[in-house]
Amino acid sequence: MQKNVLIVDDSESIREVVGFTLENAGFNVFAGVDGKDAQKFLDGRRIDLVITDLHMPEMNGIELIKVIRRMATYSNVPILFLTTESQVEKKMEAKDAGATGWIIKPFVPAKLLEAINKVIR
Amino acid sequence: MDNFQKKFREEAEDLVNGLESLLLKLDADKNNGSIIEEIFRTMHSLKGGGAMFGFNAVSDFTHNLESIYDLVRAGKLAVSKELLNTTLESIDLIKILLENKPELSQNDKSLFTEIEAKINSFIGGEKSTTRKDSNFIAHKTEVTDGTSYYILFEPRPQIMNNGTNPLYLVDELVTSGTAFVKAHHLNLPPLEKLNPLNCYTSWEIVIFTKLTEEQIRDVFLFVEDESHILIDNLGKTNILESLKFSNYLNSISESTEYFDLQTLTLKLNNADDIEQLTFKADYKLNALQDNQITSIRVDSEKLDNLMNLVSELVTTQAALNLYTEANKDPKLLQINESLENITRHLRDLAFNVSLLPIETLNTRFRRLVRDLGADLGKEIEFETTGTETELDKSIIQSVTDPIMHILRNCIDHGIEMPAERTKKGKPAKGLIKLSANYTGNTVRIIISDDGAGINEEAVLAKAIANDLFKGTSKLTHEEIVNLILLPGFSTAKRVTDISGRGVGLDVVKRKITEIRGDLEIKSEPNKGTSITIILPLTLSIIDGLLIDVNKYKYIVQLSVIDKIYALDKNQLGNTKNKIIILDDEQIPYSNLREIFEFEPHNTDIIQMLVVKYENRKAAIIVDDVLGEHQAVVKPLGKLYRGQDFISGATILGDGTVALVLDTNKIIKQLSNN
Amino acid sequence: MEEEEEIKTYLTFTLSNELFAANVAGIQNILEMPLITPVPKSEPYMKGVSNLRGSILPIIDTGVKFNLPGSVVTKNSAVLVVKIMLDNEMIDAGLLVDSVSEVFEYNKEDIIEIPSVGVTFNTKYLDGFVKYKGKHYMLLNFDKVFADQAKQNVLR
Repeated sequence: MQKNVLIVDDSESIREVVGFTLENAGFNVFAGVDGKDAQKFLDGRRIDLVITDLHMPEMNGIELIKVIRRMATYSNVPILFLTTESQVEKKMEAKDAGATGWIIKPFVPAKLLEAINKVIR
Repeated sequence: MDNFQKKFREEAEDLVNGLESLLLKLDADKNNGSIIEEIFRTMHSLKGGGAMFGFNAVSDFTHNLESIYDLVRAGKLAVSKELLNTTLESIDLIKILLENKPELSQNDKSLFTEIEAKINSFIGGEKSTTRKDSNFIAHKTEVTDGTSYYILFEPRPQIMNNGTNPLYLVDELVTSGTAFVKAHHLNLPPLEKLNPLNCYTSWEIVIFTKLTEEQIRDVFLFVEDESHILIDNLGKTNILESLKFSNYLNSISESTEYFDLQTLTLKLNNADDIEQLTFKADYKLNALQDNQITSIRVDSEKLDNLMNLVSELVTTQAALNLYTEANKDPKLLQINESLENITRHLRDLAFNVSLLPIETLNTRFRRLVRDLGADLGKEIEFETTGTETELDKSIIQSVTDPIMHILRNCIDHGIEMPAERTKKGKPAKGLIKLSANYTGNTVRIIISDDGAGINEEAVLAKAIANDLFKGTSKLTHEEIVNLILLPGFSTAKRVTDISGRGVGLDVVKRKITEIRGDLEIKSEPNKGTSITIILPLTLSIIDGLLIDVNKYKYIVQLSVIDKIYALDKNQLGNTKNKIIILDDEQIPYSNLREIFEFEPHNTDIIQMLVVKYENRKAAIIVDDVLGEHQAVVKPLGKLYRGQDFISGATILGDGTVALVLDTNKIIKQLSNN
Repeated sequence: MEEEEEIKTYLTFTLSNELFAANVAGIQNILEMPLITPVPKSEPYMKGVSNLRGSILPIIDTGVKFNLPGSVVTKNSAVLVVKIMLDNEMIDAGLLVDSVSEVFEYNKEDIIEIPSVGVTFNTKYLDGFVKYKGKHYMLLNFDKVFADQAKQNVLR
């Protein structure tokens, strides 16, 4: 069964590079530009993994994680967030909101897949 | 990565422009927190993206700027005219840096130093060290033979609430080496108190791996705050190969006890105690079932070689069979029988190994739909079902281009522009579905769209223009639609069309026919088009029945044969419509000699094969049925393209060639008449 | 190097009493008359298929293909195995000829242009003529023979 991954980031290049990497790894990728946009992909579809940026114009990553965790069908879906080395305090905040893990930017494709491998199979 | 870089640069230019206008806004409203926040966020994106896409100068430089605005954000630095000026100058510099030239001009260099100095003065003289390139590569695997570790992983019960699956982590660790895993369920509450969403398991892992302690910790990176994790280095010896350890394992394997770490280390510290296991294989089977290699990657060329060798083996086997039969040597008969058995098993296995699921192509299809759809300004959703269906890898290879062409047709000609769709009362977003399933000895791949359907008038006009249809008789919609599959429907000019777009389906059909497949098409105006590709499940080697027609031998695939009848000539009756009633069933029949336009053949006893495909049956009369034969099917080659009822050829034990009948096509023809 | 290239080796053969020659570089193998399994309902010039060391070799009745009358299979008949280009793919094919005679070397400069009159054979398949031991041989170009077919069937 092909896994559906939702990538949420306001940067098109990040969306592209994540999308490209994951599609090549056999995932089916949906992309949203921010938390608000991302929600439309969650309804009526089975998303197996959410990868979200934290800083986004409309509804930031932390809020999105909270929203997803409140949805009955997604209360246990793995959520990874994108963060940078310098933002350690954000890590805790996101974890508290219900995130499963994180990916440190910048990353290479192998690193991304490694993190994903920790949360879905 | 060039494309990504280009994309990032475009994006960065937007960010920089946005930053510029934000700064001007901030100039007018110096205490507006949300503007400051926005500026910080934009800088952060620039920095992150820069590092990601190899614009390190941009990234490093922006990092310093970001630090300033971090201070501003925290109220530690006031927004001043000087600050804004420096920031705006910095933006100009970023624009230069974004060109990503290998070397800055002398002018730019001095500008760079100047601005950097100004920035540093804002960060309170405390020189912000330019960030070094982050360490991208995760694993610098130590070149040691490995280390044994004892690991205890006790997640807190609520660990799964945030989407963590602790098993994946155990699995990740275990696959990095050889490991023994013991799971404990000590804290399991009584059933009525059990929360199915909680995790009550903890794991003990003894592993011999190349990972460093830090790398092991990395495995549990996401959960270390919510788990009790203990890692103990047991030294460089592979404890799993120690006899003492395996004895110890056996002694506790049935119990729920935890490892006695002390015993473990004691046993190991005494190096003399370590003996190599002689019965390693057995031991591994018993104790390490979790860690067997379940799949390996094999060069596809090796697979091709294997298949070729197996094909040759099957052909040689046929020769041996002939010789054995002629010789009547009982010992040889016996040997040949077991050899034939092995050959058959080997053949099935080799065939099975070459199967690939259709979903290996999904990414290519999805990309095509996305990219071409976007180029044409169409929004299209692409859905796949049943793509786990497996096909021989050579069939997958041959079918990729045809499917890509069909998809192109769907995107280009099928799905309408969003405005037109809305006008028709359809969702603006088009839908293309690809589904696959097994039916009998074939696999069907169905590609459908919810687009405009095939334009009847256009097809008719073109068919008449290309002399494929006289335009005299009245055709049903289905018949018209199927005209596009006729050879020569699309002219050579269209075939060579740039980028292969607009390729005719007749060409696709021909390509499919070359691999013994078939193409069917259905279309409804404004509802969409559905194209079904029917492919043979087996490609290279089949179990066949050898028959004789007009002194030449033919092969019929055994799996399609329902029954074989030997009938008296009179039983056929004199029916003109060529229907015979067999076991209360009306079955259309024909003589192969007739189908092949050979001289008729007069015998009193008629050999009739009833063959089936899906729910259709047909009977074919042959001269003689000779017996079973494993056939390596080889293509007849391009010179025999368009051969309707022959799907390939095989070499018999005596070195002559027998043709393989395409019974599906024969059935189709007979049941359509 | 260049001078060596000018000299080429040719194989001579006959088809309906006409004398032909072909560059041996294009010929993989010469088979004595193999067993041929006819393929029903195929083009008249497709003679059938044969076993060539385990693969299926399509055999072309060259005489029919060239529209020459009266080619019959005799004990002198032979099959020239050639590689031809079809749809950008090299394939093996067998050309049935009436007899194979000899091999000679010839200088490229000595190839005679195709005369516009007096040739019964379709000249578009020919590279020219060569004269050897007082006889004229038509130089056959295999690729040109099959180029017609190649035109029609391409997916790409």
